[in-house]
Amino acid sequence: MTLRRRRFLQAAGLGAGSLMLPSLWSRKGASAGPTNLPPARLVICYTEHGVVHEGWGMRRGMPDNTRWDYALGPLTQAEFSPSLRPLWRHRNKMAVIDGLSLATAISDPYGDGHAKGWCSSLTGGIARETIESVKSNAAKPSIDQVIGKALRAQDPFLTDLVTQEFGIFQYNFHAAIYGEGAAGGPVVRMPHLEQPKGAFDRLFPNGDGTAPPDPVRVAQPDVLAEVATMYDQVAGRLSTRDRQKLEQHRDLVRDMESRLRRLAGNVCAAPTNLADYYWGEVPYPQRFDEHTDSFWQLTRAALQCGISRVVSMQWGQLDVATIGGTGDLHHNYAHPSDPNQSMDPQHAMAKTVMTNYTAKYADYIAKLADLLDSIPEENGTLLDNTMILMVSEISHGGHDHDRWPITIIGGGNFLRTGRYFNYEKETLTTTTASWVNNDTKIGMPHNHLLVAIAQAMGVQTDVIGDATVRPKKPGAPAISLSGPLPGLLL
Amino acid sequence: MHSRVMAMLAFALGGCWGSIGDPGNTEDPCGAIPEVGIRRLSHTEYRNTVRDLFPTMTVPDLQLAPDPTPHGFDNDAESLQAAPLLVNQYNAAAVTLADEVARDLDLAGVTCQPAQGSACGRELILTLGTRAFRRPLGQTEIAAFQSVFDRYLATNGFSAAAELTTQAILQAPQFLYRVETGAEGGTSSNYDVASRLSYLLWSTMPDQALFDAAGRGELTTPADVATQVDRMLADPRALDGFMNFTRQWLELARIDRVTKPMAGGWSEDVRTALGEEAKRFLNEVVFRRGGTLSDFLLSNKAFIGPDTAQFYGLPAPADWTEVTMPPDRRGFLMQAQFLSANGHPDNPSPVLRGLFVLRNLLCVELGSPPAGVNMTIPGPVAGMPLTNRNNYDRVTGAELCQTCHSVINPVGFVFEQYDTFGKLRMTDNGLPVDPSGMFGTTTFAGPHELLDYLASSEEVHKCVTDKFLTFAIGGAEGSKDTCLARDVQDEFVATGGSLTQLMKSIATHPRYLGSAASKGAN
Repeated sequence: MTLRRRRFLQAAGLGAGSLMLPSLWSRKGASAGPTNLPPARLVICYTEHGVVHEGWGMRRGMPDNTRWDYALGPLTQAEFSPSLRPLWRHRNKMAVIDGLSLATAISDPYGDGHAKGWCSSLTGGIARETIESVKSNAAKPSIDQVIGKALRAQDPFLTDLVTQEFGIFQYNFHAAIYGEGAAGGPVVRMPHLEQPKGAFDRLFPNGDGTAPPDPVRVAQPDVLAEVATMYDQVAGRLSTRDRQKLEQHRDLVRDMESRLRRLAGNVCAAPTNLADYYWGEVPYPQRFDEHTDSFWQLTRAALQCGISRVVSMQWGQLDVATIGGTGDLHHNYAHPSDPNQSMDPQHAMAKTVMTNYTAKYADYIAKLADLLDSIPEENGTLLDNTMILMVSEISHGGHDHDRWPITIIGGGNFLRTGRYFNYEKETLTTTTASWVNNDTKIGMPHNHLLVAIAQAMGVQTDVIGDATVRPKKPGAPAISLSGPLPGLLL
Repeated sequence: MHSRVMAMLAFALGGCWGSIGDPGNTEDPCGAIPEVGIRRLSHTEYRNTVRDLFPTMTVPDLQLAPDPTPHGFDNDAESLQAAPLLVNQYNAAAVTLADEVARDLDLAGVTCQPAQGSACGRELILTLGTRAFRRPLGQTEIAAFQSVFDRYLATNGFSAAAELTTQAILQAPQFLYRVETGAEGGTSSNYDVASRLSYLLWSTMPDQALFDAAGRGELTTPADVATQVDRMLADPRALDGFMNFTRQWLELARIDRVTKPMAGGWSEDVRTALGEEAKRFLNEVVFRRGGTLSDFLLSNKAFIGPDTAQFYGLPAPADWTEVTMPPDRRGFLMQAQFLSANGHPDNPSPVLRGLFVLRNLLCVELGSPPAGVNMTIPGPVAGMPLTNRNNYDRVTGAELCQTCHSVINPVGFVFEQYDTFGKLRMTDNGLPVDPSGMFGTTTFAGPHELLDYLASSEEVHKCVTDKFLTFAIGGAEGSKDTCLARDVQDEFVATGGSLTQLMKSIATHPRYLGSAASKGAN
């Protein structure tokens, strides 16, 4: 292991030409649905601090508080909002969704806006309270894990790599991906993979097919089977709580064994020339850019080869100098960009920088969309079967959870894409804050978006996260959070 | 005010000040010893254990997803669960390490030759397995590993057999988790005690002397254990254990995340040097010299380097040097590492500094701000010459904010005479600095009075004990054993607040050693 600054797999067997091969998702016996068309896939792109709505939204003078949608196709590049302009070339394959709320986060009386968003945005639930770290954990698993579990139950060919968790974290560790803990135990924050080399090794356990199989590698599934048996032997002598911990570990070992058997010899469209740096090896912006590109290559391979159905990519804060600022992005720019801070002398500059911030991530995502759109599938391209969800934990720098900004690129075979959707404020506020009027209205709860995505992915459910939430207004009925977002699904 | 703080303390800390013993238990006034269950090694413990398992190996960088820290420490038994990525990373680490062992059996302490075949495999299993599992292997375990070895010896040869068997050992639950076997009568076995001591005091596996003592049954009586604890505290690895606790308790990693303007003298070298400065102070003044809580808070000894002298107005030495600090500096909280780590880019943060003292020295947990509040760092206001203190008073003045900030700010304000780099200042924005403050009903003219208060406070001694017990037990269960907490607190106070004595008090307490976890695994 002398790899430090790596450009590995310089000359993999299939090489760059494999990118243009048709998707290899279709396997004999795969339950891809009644029509045997390619399955739906999902990529969650998570950034922090919300957006500057002036630089993000494209309501174009239409009323804020009614429900409408319009086609994005006729818009010129200049007419696209600055934050979303890097995605203009995908305008006919994207949906911008304006006006939703994180009603569950708003209902949660504890914690700051960031923390409630981490725990609520992708789970549809509220945070789990703990004594000393009130906002450390969500109460429900996030949608990617829910979908992954449901799809594995449907398709015996899928492995534990049905979901992949990637991340680039340097200045913070605020993650929004949560999975089920040990049986009966609390939901836990999912670890993420930060090194592209590690992700490659999981997807291609026997390398890229250019070298003969290593006999030790070949034997590993059998060794893991032995290890799993040891977990059984030890667990059998423990208390219920401890036994559950080891049984969970054992199941994960067996998952790995099963996956290694399944992926043995897999060289499907192995990516080449991936950058992989440890912290400090290269300047931070370079690592951020190149690791993002590497993770896009791996995302493409995982989805194209039918190994994964859901990939999450969580970014920490990028270097503020790359978007026209200096110092601390969070406190110097994100917070002062709050629309309620218009008197702050930093406000105008902060809005510019945070608009650039969203645009920078939109540019990254546009490149992923390019990549997926270059892979033909039976009914279009890989992008047409993949929803790239661009999501944040809050709405804007003021920690609000109303008018939660959502952009979805791709998924045109399941969603009405090429449109800008606006949803009116039609839900009674769920906050318990004393200073908020009982009759205040907030946007449609985001749980409906999560349900729509789950259904598009082939998961038969009407609920993601909580099923209802209480409005603040005394005597008002509970607010239902079930059912898909109206107007979005085909 | 005092009752309000104490009410918060009671709410936040629950059992910290609870009654001693279990009122419902008429047989034992202390109640049953809380069970902590099996515990996965934290990544710190795992890496240290790998280091000591293969002492002659140059261990490569092993990638492990970060451990959760729900109670401020990374060894929380409840949270240390398996996760898909982590299990994969354990596998990758096992593959890497086993590859090294297969190339050189000496790395695993094995002296036999491959030509000896199965017999040499048995030596590998017994030698590596015993140390990896931190106890002798049972016959079932030996047979299972021998079966793996012999199968691959027949099909793939000795090297592959050694490699795959090592992989299996390094992914087994007996290695990745601390699974206690227990002894007759429900007490801990000698090997259980050996692991408890080594992971508490060294954050790693037992050494050979501890294994030998366990093998001879010499970890049974308090005197036997005390002998080993004295030996272990004198070992250089005790510093690893102490710093593993201290690094997390004092949030030393915060310095790695702050941003400061270069114009004020900041650089990456300065950041590194401030981290080093704190470590040297803690290592030398607090640990090696058997320092007390008072030394931690009040000592005028410190270590300055070429990059940190500027913050104290001292001439820069050529290398790290121990100095007697100027009268305006005493203890950890007046050093630049703490002061700059708890500050924003342009201004010090009385909120961060106050919260640090409340959370880590007084065990007051105040939670997070309510939703929707303005969290913007107070900046200059046109036409209003304000000090940083005035600004924080301004933005936290609302009744809603004051619920917590009436407690936080008066503690943090006492450090206002130090700027965001920790440099002494008499004026702020052209106005005189006001370093007065308050906690409960006690007022302070400045930081020296606060530090004197903290150093003599029973609450602080209790809080530090509680923090260490949380670390020692591996979760909040630590402070729930009220008899253990009471005894350790009493001894901590009686020894003048000696932090090394605190480690010894816990390590030798019968309830710590006897709180056997789930039994099994042999």
